[in-house]
Amino acid sequence: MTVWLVAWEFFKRAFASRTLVVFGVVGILFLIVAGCLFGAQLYSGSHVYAAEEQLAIARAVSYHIAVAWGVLFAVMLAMGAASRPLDDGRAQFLLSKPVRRSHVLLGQLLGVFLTALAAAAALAALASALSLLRAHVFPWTLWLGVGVASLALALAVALVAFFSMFLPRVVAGMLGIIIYLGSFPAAIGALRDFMTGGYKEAGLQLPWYVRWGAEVYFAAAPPIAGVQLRAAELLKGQSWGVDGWLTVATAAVYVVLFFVATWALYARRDV
Amino acid sequence: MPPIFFMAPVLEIVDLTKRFGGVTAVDDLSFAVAAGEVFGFLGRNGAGKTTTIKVALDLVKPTGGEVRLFGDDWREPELRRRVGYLPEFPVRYPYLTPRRYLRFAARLFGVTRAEAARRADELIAQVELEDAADRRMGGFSKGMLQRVGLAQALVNEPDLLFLDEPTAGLDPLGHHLVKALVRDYAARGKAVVVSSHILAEIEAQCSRVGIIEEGRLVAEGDLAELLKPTNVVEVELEGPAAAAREAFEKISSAVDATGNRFALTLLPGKDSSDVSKAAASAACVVTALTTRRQSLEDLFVSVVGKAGEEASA
Repeated sequence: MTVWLVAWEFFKRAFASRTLVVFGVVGILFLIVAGCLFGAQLYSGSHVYAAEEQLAIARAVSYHIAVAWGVLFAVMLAMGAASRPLDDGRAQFLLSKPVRRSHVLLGQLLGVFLTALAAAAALAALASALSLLRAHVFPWTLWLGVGVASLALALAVALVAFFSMFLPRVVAGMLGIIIYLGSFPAAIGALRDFMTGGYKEAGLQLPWYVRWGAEVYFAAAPPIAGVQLRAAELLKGQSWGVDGWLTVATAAVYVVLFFVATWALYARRDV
Repeated sequence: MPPIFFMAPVLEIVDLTKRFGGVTAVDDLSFAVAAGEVFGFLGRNGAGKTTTIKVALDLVKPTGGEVRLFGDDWREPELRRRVGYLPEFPVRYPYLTPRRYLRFAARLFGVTRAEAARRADELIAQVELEDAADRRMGGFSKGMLQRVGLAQALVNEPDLLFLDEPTAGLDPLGHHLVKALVRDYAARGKAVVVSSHILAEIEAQCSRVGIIEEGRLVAEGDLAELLKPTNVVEVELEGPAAAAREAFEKISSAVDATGNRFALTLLPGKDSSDVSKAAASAACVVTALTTRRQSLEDLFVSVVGKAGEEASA
C-alpha cells in the first residue's frame, strides 16, 4: 500500500515538473514528425511499399522511438529518484511515518518505472493512432514489443538508481546513458567483430586477454538494449530461441542485483 | 491520570552516541520523557538536538547506544504510528496543496481515503489555513509552511510529538497556536519534546528541560528544581515607602522601587527574614514577598558557558 502511495506521488511529481513535460512534448513531436515520414513519405516516394511492408516499417519505427525515448526518460528520472529524497527532506517526511525504508526506495523506483512506461506507452499509442490513420492498420504487435522492452526500462532504472547513490546526479545519469549505449550490441557490433573476429581474419592477432576481456564485457554488460532487440525480434514475428530467454533472464537478474545493491547503500544512509 | 513519575517513559535515550566522521554530534546522551510531559530540549546551533531527535525516529543511525519508544526498539517502523514529527524544514512538496499533502500524509498511516480527507479538513481548520488549503504550497511563506508542517505532525494524533523549532517563521498568532496545541496535547496525557532556541517559550511551556552542549547533556530536570532562587527579593508593603527604602538599603546592594513595590538585591548573608525585619523597623507591613528565581536564559548561559570553559580547559 505505502509502496503504491509513494510511487503514485512520484508519478504526479514527475508530471508536475516542467522539464519532464518539455521532454514528453519533444518526444511526441518527434514521433509525429517520424509518423509523417513513415506515413506520407512512404506513399509518395518512387518506391510504393506494399501494405505489409508499411506496417512492418511503422511497427519498427514506432517501437524504437517509443522504447528508446522511454529508456532515456527512465534514465533521466532515475538520476535523482533514490538519492534525492534522502537529501531534500522528502525521505525524512516519509520515514517519520510508519513507512519502511525499503518501501520508500521501492516506491520511488516503481514511480520512475511507471512514469517511463507511461511515456513509452503514450508514444506507442500515438504511433498506433498515426499508423491507423495513414496505413489503416493497427499495429497490435507493437504493444507486445513495448511490453517486453519494459524490462529494459526496469534495468535502466535499477542501474542509474544504484550509481546515483554515490555519484552526483548528472554524472550518475551520464553513466546510465553510457551503460545504455555501451550495452547496445548493434551500436558496437562492429567493434566487437573487429576485436574478436575481424581483426584475426585480417591476419592480426590480438592478445588473448583483450579478446577474453571483450567477451567477458559483452557477457556481463547489463543487456538493456539486448532486451530491446529481443523485443524487436518478437515484433518481426521471429521465434525466440534460448538466446532470447537468456537475455531476458540476465536482465531480470541484473534488476534484482542492482536493486539489492541500491538497497544496501540506501539502508545505511542518514536522512 | 497517575503522577508522571509512575508512568513508563514513552521515550528513553540510553547512552546515545553519534559520530559523523571525526565529529561527535551526540556523546553518551541519556534521558527519558514520560507521558503527559512537555520536555524542552535546549542547546546551541549544532549542539546535537536535531541529531538526537532524528536518531529517535531512526532517520539517523547511531554510532552507539539505543533508543526505546514506548518500551520497544525504536527501529520498528510500526511504532511511528504513535509518533509525530515536525522537522526544522517541514514541507518539500511544492506542487501539492495543503489539503492533498495532508491527505497523502494520512494515507501513509493506512487510513481510507474518506478518513484521510476528513482528517485533512480537521487539521486545516486546526492550523487555521482554510483560505490557503487548495493553493499549491510552492508559493507559501515560511510561516504557512510551518503551519502545514505542524498539521502533518498531528495527522495521526500521536502519543509522542517531536517539535523541532516549532515557532520558526511563525507570526505571534502562530506562536499562540503552537502554545495552545502543546498545552492541549500534554493535558491529554501525550508527551511532547520541544527543541527550540526561544527560551522564554520553553520556560512557559515545558515542565522539564534538558540542555545539551557539544552533544552532552549538561543539565536536566524539572524547571522548578533547575531554576535556583536568586538573591533578588520582590516585596510589596503598606506604610511609608521612603522609610522602607532607607531600611532596605542597609541590607541590599541595589534597591529598585516603584511606589510601594521593591526589588532588592540582598547583600551576602541576608535573606527574606531580614527583609521582613527591615520593613518592620520602618513601620511597614509586608503584604507580599517572593524570592526571584533564575530565568531559563540565566540557567542556559551559566551551564552552557561553564561546559564550554570545561571543554576548553
